[in-house]
Amino acid sequence: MSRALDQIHCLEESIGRALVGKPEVVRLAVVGLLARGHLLIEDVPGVGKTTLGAALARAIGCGFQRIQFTSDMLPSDVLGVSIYQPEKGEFVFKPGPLFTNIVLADEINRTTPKTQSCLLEAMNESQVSLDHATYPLPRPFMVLATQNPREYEGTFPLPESQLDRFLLRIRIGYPDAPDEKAILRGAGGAPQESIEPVLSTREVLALQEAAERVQVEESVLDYLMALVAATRDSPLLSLGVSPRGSIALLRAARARALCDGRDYLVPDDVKALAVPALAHRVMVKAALGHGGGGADGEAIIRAAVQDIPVPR
Amino acid sequence: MPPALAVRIAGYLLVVDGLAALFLAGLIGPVGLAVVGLGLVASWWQEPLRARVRNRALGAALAVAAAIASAADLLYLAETLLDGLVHLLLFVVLARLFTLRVPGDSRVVAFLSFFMLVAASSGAFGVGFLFVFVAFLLLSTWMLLLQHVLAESEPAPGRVIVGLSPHLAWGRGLLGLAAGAAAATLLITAALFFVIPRVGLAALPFRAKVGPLVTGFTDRVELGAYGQIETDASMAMRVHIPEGMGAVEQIPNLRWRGIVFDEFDGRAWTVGQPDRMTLRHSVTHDFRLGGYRGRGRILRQEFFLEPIGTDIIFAAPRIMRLEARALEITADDMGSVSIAVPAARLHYVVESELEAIRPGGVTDAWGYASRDDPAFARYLQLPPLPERIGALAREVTAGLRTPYEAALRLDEYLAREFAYTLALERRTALPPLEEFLFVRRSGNCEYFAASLAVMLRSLGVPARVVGGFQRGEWNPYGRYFAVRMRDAHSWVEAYFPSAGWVSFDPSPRVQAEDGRSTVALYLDALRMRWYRYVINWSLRDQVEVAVSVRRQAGRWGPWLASLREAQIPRVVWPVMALLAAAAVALALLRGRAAPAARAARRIPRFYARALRALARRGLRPAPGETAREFCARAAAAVPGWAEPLASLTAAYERARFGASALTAGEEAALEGWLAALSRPRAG
Repeated sequence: MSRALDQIHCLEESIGRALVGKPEVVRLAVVGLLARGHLLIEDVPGVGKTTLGAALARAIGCGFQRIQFTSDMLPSDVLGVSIYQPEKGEFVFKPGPLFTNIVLADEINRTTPKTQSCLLEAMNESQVSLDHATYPLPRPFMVLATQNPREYEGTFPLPESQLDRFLLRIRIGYPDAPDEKAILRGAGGAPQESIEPVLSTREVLALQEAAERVQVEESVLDYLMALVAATRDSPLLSLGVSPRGSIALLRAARARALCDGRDYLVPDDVKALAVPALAHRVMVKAALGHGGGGADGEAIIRAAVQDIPVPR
Repeated sequence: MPPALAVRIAGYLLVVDGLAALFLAGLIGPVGLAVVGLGLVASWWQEPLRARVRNRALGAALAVAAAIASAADLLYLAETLLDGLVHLLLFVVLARLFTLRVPGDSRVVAFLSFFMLVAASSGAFGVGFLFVFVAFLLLSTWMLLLQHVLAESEPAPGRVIVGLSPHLAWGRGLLGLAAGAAAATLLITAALFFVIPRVGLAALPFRAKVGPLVTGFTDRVELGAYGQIETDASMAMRVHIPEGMGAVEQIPNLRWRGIVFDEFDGRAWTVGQPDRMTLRHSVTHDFRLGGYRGRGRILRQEFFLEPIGTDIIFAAPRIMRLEARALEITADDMGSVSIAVPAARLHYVVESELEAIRPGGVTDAWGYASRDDPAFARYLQLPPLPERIGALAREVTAGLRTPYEAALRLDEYLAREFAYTLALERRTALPPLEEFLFVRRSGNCEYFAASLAVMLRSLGVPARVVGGFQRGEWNPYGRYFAVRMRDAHSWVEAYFPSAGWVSFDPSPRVQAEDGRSTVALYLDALRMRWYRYVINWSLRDQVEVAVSVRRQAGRWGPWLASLREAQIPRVVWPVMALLAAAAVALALLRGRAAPAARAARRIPRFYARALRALARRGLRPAPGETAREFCARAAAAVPGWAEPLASLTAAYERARFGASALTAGEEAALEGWLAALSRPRAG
């Protein structure tokens, strides 16, 4: 356990060197990795979305690909394509940029739904089906998608089904004044290239397995269920959290417990992750705000979390 | 044996014990015993059964149906109310056994088996019940120990019970320990209850001499002797009158008669020719002193005497029966009674026939008694007296036809013409009585009584002087008269052939009323109760309580019978159906809330203590606040708490959610952390 804790601390420290002053965001990113989840990093431009993704990818010694999504992108640009090779007389599959461990899908809402949806199977099943053949993706496999919530011009907002496939939605937010000053001075924010891998692929997989072994006491599970039920019963929401959402919350909470050096879950784990793990899965009623669980969805979930009695 | 199994076995054994008790009492027949026994056996394998039937609504519906059936049984089917209650009890026990979930539920079963024993105690008189009772004591102690050990080890299942090996902790060793503890508890409580409060009674003979010796209640009393004690406000005795004696505080002329004097030498009254006899108690431990004459009402009095240093027994005249814990008493021919054993004097019960004279009922003519008659000589004896006393008597009673009228006239004359005072200084060298009647014209009760007695004797009416107490102050909370030393009193009895000895009290003395506050009265009543129900509690009292409970139950009997026979209006059925539906809904709702309730049971003791300590300082966790958030808030409020509370919270989380044992270091540090939270905020 203490070795796992050391590894996680190293990883967090490593990423923290690139993303200054945001330890809680770094923690969420690590939680996403250990819970075998995909992250949706959503914020205004210029706060370090891409930096976070790249730093995470570099800090673990895995394959890393960045895909800059644009509106004219086709699924084959992501998944790969089969090319006829005359000398062999057959089609040969040329894997696309998705065939790696960490994929940074930058500005995912800029591409067409067609291309967006091609990510679905990959994210959910860790495999790609193309031309009657199935190609497994390497492990670990993680998609870090970024999007800018303020810009609607020429974008295709992600459908609910796709949002549901992200384990956590992370907002980075502006840095504090002292941190920003440090960044301006050039003291903070090591260049991504200088980040050395601190974990091997095998170590990441071992940590992921350790996270799954975290025990959950009955009452904590009841608490989690109560939270999820509250989103389904809420008069403010038109769509509550799916069972996939509750599974995601549990997995993320387990990973958080591991990051904390525990082999058991406490209610704090569930409570702390309720907003990042659930807010993007709910739909606020049309009369109350825009669909897709924006800032209002977060507020509703945050309020619900404060009201539900914690097991003691 | 695993702990949960041991607790469960103990619960079942207790139920079997309760069933045996009910069987012995005849409250359950062989068929009923077999049915319940089958239910018991079946309930042992209830868990697989419950797993198969998971429908909550079905369970609730069954419960409601059973409740209605029980009500019908209670009101219409069962032979008596007790039978109905026993049926209900057995049903509840079985229902509980079928729904046992956690070991703590066995506690409820044990509690119910206690009620089975209580129900059985009404009908079980055989020696078999003794064995059942002892078994219950043993089993319930075992159960308590098991529950305690279980509760203590709950937060950390892997923890080893300190001092007991795991084998010993649950198995026969604990049973043996329970047997020892039960026996010791029984002995100690018996000693506490039976011995300690009563040691004083046994020790009284050594102490009795120390009490203040009362001058007025010896064989010879100087005139004015009572004057000394009539300023003493200390308690002399409490006279408890049982319920059902009517408005006792309104009985006229109620006095507590003690010693009787017949001989007067001009200065002092003495018991001249005592014809004393010793009476031994009857089979029922009481003493019969006279039969019922059918003239007055009977009053039962229970006396609680302070040790006042006299062997006289005080009671309302005329004593018919005396109950005291003495082997023998002494009575003289003037009706005064004494007991030599000090302990027996402190509590006794008397039944008296009160004096009742109808106006105009005593019509005896003059001259029925002469000094030559040996029966009357002692009551007509007079010392050499100045002539003017006899002359005064004749002057006051001139022209009256009967001695009774003369006595009444003298009584009234003394009360009217003379003043009551406790200032008794002598002014002349005259004999005391002459000085009182012709010079001072004021005195205390003895002067009044002596004057009346002497004047009656001079007229040829047999008379004697009585020493005793006025009735005292009525305490409605304890139903008793509080009699103080200053209530010591003296009056006269005169003899008339048609009425016997009749009391006359010529002193114009008013009953001293304290006007004490309710609280004081209540406190005094409490003191009396302590004497009555602890110090003097006897087997007879226990029987009386049982009888009175039974009488009360009997009063409810007809009401219940009428309830059974009453036709239930049609409106009641829909109402009952509605109530049943509400019960089902409630059961379903509670079922949903059950996980939280279950969780609440498992909070480790030390954390609960920490929460209580903080709650005393005004810090309580909000429902939605986790332990860590609460810890942070408390630490912000009082920085001194940060460290101990953080350690406690971490230990709590591991014990509560991690299901792993606390480390030895944490165990050792727990008390220190808790103590740190209990310190004032400044620390």
